[in-house]
Amino acid sequence: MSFLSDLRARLGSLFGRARADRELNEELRFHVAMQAEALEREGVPPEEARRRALIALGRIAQTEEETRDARGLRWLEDLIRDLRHARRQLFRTPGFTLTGILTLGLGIGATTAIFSVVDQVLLRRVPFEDPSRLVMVWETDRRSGTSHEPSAWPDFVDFRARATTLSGMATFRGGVGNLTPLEGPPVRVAAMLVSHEYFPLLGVKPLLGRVFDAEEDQPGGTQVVLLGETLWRARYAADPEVIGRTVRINENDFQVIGVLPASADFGLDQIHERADYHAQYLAPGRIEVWLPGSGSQRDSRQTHPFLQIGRLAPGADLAAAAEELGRIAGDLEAEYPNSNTARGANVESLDAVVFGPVRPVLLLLVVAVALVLVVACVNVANLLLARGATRATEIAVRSALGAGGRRLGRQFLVEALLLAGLGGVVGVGLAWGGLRALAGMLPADLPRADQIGLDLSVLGMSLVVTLVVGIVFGWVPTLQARRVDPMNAIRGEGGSKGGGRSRTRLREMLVVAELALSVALVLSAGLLVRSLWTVLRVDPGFEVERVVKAEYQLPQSRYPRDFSRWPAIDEIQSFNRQLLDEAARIPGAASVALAGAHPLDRGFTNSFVVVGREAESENWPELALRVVSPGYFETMGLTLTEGRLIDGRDRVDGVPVAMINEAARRRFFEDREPVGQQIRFWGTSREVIGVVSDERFYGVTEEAPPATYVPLVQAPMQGGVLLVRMGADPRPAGPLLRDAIRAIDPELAVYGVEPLAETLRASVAERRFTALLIGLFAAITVLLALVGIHGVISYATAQRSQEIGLRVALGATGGQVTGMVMRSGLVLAVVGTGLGLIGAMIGSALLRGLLFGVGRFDPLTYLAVPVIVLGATALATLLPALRASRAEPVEVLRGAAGP
Amino acid sequence: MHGWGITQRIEQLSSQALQVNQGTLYPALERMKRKGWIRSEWRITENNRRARYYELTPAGRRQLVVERAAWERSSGAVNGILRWAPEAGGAR
Repeated sequence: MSFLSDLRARLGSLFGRARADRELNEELRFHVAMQAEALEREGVPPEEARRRALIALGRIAQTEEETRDARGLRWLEDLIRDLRHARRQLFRTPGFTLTGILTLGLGIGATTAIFSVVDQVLLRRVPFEDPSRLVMVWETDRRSGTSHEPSAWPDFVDFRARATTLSGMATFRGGVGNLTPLEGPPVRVAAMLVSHEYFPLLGVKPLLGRVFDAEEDQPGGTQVVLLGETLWRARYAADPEVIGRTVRINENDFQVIGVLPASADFGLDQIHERADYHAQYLAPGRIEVWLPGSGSQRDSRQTHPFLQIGRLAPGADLAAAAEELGRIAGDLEAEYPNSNTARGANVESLDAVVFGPVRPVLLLLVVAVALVLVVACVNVANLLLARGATRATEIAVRSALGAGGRRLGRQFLVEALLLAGLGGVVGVGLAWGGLRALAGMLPADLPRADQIGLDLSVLGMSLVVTLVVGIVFGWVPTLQARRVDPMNAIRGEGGSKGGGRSRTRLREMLVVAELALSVALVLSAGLLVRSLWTVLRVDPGFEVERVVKAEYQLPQSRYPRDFSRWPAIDEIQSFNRQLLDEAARIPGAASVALAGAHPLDRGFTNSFVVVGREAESENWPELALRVVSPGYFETMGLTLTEGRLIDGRDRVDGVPVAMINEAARRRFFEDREPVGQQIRFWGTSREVIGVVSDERFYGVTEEAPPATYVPLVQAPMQGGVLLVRMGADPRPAGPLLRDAIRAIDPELAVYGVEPLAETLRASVAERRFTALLIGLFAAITVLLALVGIHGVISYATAQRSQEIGLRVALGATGGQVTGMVMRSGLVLAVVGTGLGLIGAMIGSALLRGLLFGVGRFDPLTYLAVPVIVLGATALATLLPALRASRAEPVEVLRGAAGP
Repeated sequence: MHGWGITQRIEQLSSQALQVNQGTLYPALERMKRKGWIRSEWRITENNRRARYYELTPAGRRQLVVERAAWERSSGAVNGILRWAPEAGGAR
């Protein structure tokens, strides 16, 4: 109650200050008038009565002042005065102010930008019910050494029925659909085929309508579809009437039964990335249509397309589930030796699968950005210390005039907060711009990367950082002010004597810390950049620069997967022939080819045996299967090392043949002759006709896997890629490839039209992103550290000007003075760099897993960075050193004599 | 009652023993107002002058009880001491 009325009175006096003053004035005048009247009644003449009344009251102004204090306005008036004073101070030294604001802006901006990434990716709620209880259940294969395989349907059914540590299980697998809109060519959309348990298990509720029921999840069930929110908004204008309508997918009609929120596809990119192999999946992207997992590929324990997710039963933990599912896999091994021999189960938390790969990168970025902020703060603290010295006189005068320690402290706090606040504004601006620049570079596997931006929680974080920074800086000059002796300071000696030495020591320590942190950061950046460089220089084994690709998918409705006729499926064979002819006519095309997958697509693998060595082949890893037309090897620039290439002699009805790569020869035919051997997979034995050089299908950082190449005519594929090697710049050719495909079949969705070089660049996007950001942060910290060391040396030189003047007067040369000043800077640089190297050796543990082709303790980096940093420091100290050496001794001595 | 009236009343009641310094009075009134013990309003005096009148609020009355008790306790204590002092010349 009394608090409320107190507040009301304070606020009232804040807003009605002028009125309150007027009223007080009137009240006091009334008082004087009454007093005068009373005196008159006693017989005092009016003039005299008024004079006495005034004396009795004391000076009106003073009473007013005291009453105003009592109104509780004092603090506010002080604050306004402090703010005005702070503004004047900051304007008086624009160089200092600008440096401070920019430095803090960089620190706060970088922190804000990275925090918004971390916040969106790691800190936001996973859009599932109780996500910490969700687990991925993978199959393993001891023979091929894989640990993250999707499951076979009968295996899933057995796991689901027998596991007691899981309260539920569901399967899902990627798919690609050609959605035919009401008008225009079909578009390719990402699809997910899920079992009916999927949505209830995850706790995902539809925005509209309902999810699949068990009936629809059966082979021959009704053709129904759930639309993703993004597609629904983009193509159906968020029309709620969409329920019950029909959409055409892969040239079949599906009835829409519901719409799912955009967040429903959370984590699917990361799960697919983790899987050893998976059904075709458009990553990264939004899942736009969801279909029941009904139908195909459910009858065999040999086919493994089904990803499995489960929920831990109450009371069960990950270890218990892993133990139980491993036991069930063991039982299945005994029950189905044909299909399940050597198969086990691997249970991982969904969290580990989704966030596991990005956590180290983000952690590294957080550490780096924290270092940037610390260095920025250290730098500003340093600036304030230097300025504090020049303000010693002001502080002294004010404390001599009676300003209390608290009053002075508050003044500095207000000044620091104002500075930090301005820095914060700049920082948020930088973060906003920075995030827009980052948007295109974010690694694709970052969960929820598309939602990163500045929002309230991020801005709140920046505000907190700004306040903390401001408060910390408010202290620095306060601590200093305590040491100022008003007498000395006013006499003009405050800056150079008494406390000067310890202040310099403190500033030197700060600079050393700054340098150490930035050296550690530069070293990390150096290691990352070296890794990136190494990655970019890895020879992927195939021609990248001049090849352009376009991908397509043939719908089963018009290009049937009729295995009774296979491989003589005329529809596909004729399409392939025509497309090759059409593509060869593209102007500038040097060589054209069709393939099942382009060289940066992992494609698929299969187990196989070498005829005559069946027993031995049992334990071999799977072989990457590449289906190619004869022009492939020329187009991709591969070298034949033995035998012959696939060519026109290999026909649909001819002898089945295959080629292998060098990796397969090394792995399976060490000291044997591969050409002429028979290898068998897909139920057909094929004669090995040649050996070709390796291609790195699994990305440039992974060794080429053992692979086999099969002629396209002998293994027609539903999905494919057109590859064209151009004589010159491949970029303009993209649309021509699209036209060529559309010329054969205008109904096809064509996608992934880009030069291979671009695909390659995208595959190292994350590495580039990390290296670039850490490099940027490192550059900022080094710059700040250099500013810091420059400031310290300049200041120290200014303090020693008297001594330097004397030396010059006594005959020291300019060179000697320069050397002396620079030596003092280099001592700091060497100590800072040394500490930074030690810090980097410890801190580089964070980089493990992010490096490629470079060790944590790469000697070249550890040598180059100190040399560069020391060189830069030398330059930063050169300026004050030269200034000192040019000093005119007479002026310096006279100047130092003081007023 | 207005400010000037308060000074007059105090002087009257204390038989001129207590002279209120106006420089103390108005800040004190302001502080009491801020604490919610009194409230004020502008009224016209019998002589047609505008003056600010003060009166106790319920919270102020309660505070008065508290303050009076405190005062009586301490003045009683002081009186006790003074009465006991031999050189006061009163009853032992």
